Amino acid sequence: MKQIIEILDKFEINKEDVQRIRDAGKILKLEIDEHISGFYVWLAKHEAYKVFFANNPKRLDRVVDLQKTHWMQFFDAELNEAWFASRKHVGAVHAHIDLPNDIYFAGMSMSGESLVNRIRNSKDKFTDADKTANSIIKLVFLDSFIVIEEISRIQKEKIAASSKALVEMSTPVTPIWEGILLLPLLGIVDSTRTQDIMSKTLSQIAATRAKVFVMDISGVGSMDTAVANQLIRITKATQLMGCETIISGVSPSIARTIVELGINIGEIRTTATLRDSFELALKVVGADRHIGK
Amino acid sequence: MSEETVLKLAATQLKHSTIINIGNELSDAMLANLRDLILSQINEYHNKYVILILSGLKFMDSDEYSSLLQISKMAEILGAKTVFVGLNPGIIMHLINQDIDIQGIKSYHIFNDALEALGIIDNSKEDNNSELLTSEDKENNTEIQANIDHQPFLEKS
Repeated sequence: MKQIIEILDKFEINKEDVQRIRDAGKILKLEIDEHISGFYVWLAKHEAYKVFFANNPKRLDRVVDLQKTHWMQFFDAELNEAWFASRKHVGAVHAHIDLPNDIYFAGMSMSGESLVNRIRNSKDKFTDADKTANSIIKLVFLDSFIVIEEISRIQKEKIAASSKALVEMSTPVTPIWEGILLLPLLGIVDSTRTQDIMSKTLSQIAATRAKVFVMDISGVGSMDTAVANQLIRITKATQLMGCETIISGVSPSIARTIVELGINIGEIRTTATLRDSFELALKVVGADRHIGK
Repeated sequence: MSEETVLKLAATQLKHSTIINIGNELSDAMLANLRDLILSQINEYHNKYVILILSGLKFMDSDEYSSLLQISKMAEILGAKTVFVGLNPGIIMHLINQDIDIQGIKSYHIFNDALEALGIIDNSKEDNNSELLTSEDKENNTEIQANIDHQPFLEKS
């Protein structure tokens, strides 16, 4: 309740505005069907109309009904929790059907203009037409804000979820021999990703008692001091678990960059090919003796 | 806390090493106690290694790590290398994110691996006369040992 009062305050919607909107509703509710038809004539000019309604006339009927309910409730101006919840619900629906934000805003703007024009065209029917128009516009803005905030929240959630999924898929630390782990590293290596790599690698080392961790960087986009520092951090972490990291897939340009930037890789072993790293790893675990080398 | 109630640490000798189990906290008093114990053990037994069992620690911050590092430098001056055993991954990640210096630090996750790496035990030669082994175990052990014996000896790098 407190939040509702705060937000009405922020949008400067007071009791007088609410009364004016309700009074306007006595006249404008009778014109709602005409108003909505006008809206769909406008929408039909846009690509979004074809996407959502071209093959689905039933959907159009349903949405027209929902629109009517929306405007009826708008002019009731019962700005309570139920009303706010219903606006959020509209936002959720729009987010899930991926309605473009520009269409939504343009639609609300067009609706607002249409209502204001109706008021202007019959000024004598309203106690104070100008103030009524202002009140309506303020509520249109508030209405749009609640919807777009919900859309934005859901879009952010979707992005976070797919980022997470991508990160999960992109850090497969795999045991490839007894005591040897392999990670073919692809893409960006920033500090967030490094935490994920470290956490997965350390738990795999603990689970498999790995002595060597081969990290192949041939898929890493670019090497600079920041990336090198992240890789060095990973090797330090594995060292504290008693597991050596060997970095493979070092290209000639990476080798140049490391030396030219003065990056100190200390005693970290590096090789050009995965095959060479694997050979070294086998020596470390003593397995090369058993495979007839 | 009075100076008298410092937690007592115990050191165990095994071959050329001193082994100390740190327990679950690293207070300033504990660290001072540890330092004194390590240096006196090395002095008495001329240890090559000081093995610190850290698996009981739930948390270590970079200051505590620095203190351990200092103690290991003192031990090194007396001729002994300090080895950490059992640091948990959560602590490791926290310390690495603080960019700690790990130059010259030997650390192992599993105590057995540490003992093997330091040459204190040899896991490749199973004791085939142990009463705890079944006859099937003994047969398997003999086969593995025969295979190992037939390969040319190569130094582990």
